[in-house]
Amino acid sequence: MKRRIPLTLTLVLGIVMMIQFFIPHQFSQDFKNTALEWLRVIGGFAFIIGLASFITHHYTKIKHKKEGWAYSPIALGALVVMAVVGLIGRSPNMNWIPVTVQGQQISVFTYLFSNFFTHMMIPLGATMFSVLAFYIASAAYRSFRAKSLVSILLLVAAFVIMLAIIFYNVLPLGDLGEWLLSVPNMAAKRGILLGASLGGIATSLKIILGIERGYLGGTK
Amino acid sequence: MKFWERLGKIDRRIIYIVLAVVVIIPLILTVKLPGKVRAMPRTKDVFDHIENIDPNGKRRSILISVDFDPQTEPELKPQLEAVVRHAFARNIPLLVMALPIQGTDIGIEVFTRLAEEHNKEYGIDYVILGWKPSPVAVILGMGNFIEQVFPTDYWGTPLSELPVMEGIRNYDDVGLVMDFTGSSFYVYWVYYAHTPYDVPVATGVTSVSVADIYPFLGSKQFIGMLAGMKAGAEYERLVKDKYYQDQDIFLRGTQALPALSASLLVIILFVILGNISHFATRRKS
Repeated sequence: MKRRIPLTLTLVLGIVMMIQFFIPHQFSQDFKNTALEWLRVIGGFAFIIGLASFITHHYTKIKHKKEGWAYSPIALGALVVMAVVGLIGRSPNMNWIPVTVQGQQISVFTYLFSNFFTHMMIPLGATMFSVLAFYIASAAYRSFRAKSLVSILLLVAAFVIMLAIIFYNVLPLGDLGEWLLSVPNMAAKRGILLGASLGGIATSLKIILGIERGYLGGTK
Repeated sequence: MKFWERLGKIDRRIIYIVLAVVVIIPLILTVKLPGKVRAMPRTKDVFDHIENIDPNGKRRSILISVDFDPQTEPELKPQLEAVVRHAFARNIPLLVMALPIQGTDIGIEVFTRLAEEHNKEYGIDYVILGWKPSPVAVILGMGNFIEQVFPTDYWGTPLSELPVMEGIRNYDDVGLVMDFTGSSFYVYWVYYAHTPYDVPVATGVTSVSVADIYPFLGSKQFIGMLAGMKAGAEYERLVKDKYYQDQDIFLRGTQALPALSASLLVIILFVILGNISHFATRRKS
């Protein structure tokens, strides 16, 4: 029974939504809009699951003093602080502990939320991403060697694209880079995309028909 | 260790230091590269499309989706700012939203600053719709009725009370959906906005995603693309040349381009050194 209900729901709704796509009648459109509203509501619940999983994961780490457990209280603390300042600061008509910023009176929670994001989240995020540039430079130096015909082709293509960015005013390079992207690259990408899309359709059909049941959890 | 072998085994810390220096120096000294940035065709397509939007016509608005987070902000913010400047200069109404939640605050920061710079008023010239979960449901729902998905703006004001929303009901009233993303959100806009509702869609992406966009450009599902920081600089040049010739505006992408060029040049040089060492040592052995 635990499996039969979700499998039946998937089968019925999967087929109904497929048929709905081809019916322009108002009833069909209303049904689609209702389904979309349901989808948005269900999407909201995903955050509760995410939150529960985050808390459980870090709680377990602290409890068993697993490797790197000292970072977990920081993660949980950051979650609580951002949630509190966000919930209070972003709630309309909740001007608690007002402060004056650029001549305007705002809640201290609004001020903190905005500053935490702008002056902590953004620089930290940008720093983490920019570290990639150093790894890429080091990795390219060590592994980008012209050992075979394929690697030579890859090396030449990469050089053309990078040089087209560096010497942006040198016309032939820019055009050559554009040709590489819009002809050989597009041909390969289209093939991959078509293959992936056909795979997606096949998987969807398997899920609708109950052949693929991995999403229900477990292995049996 | 012989010279050729040493050339192929440069300590990674040296590579890091060299790269850091060539990135930081052009940014600190605000180095300018010679000549004007030449706009690539894909960038020009986006510019031309926005140029052809009639601010008083049926499809007069632009829906901007800020679908990136702080990680990719340095690369995408120049693009976003250049497009917003362009739209503000042409008095095109702007609807701003985000599919990932962090995009909302980035959008608010950019729009608040640029609106002040251009004397634009919130609710009249632009609106921040905010964020809602489930990207697919949000995009599809907006095709039917925007207010159904976003009954209020980000601060809780009903959309029906905002003058900017007058006559804007769904994608039929949108001249362009402009998606700025550091991940694959652009696919959602193609699949669930362009395909069922035929709304023109363009995207601004990071350099690593560029190759993935080309199939959609070839099939005309995207009307154009802004590719990485360079496209940000290209768009800034197009907008400045047409609307801000006499004004001294901050061109974020143009300023960062020398640092990008220098870092790419360093990577090329290190790859060449690595290959010289590879061939020299292989010949000897």
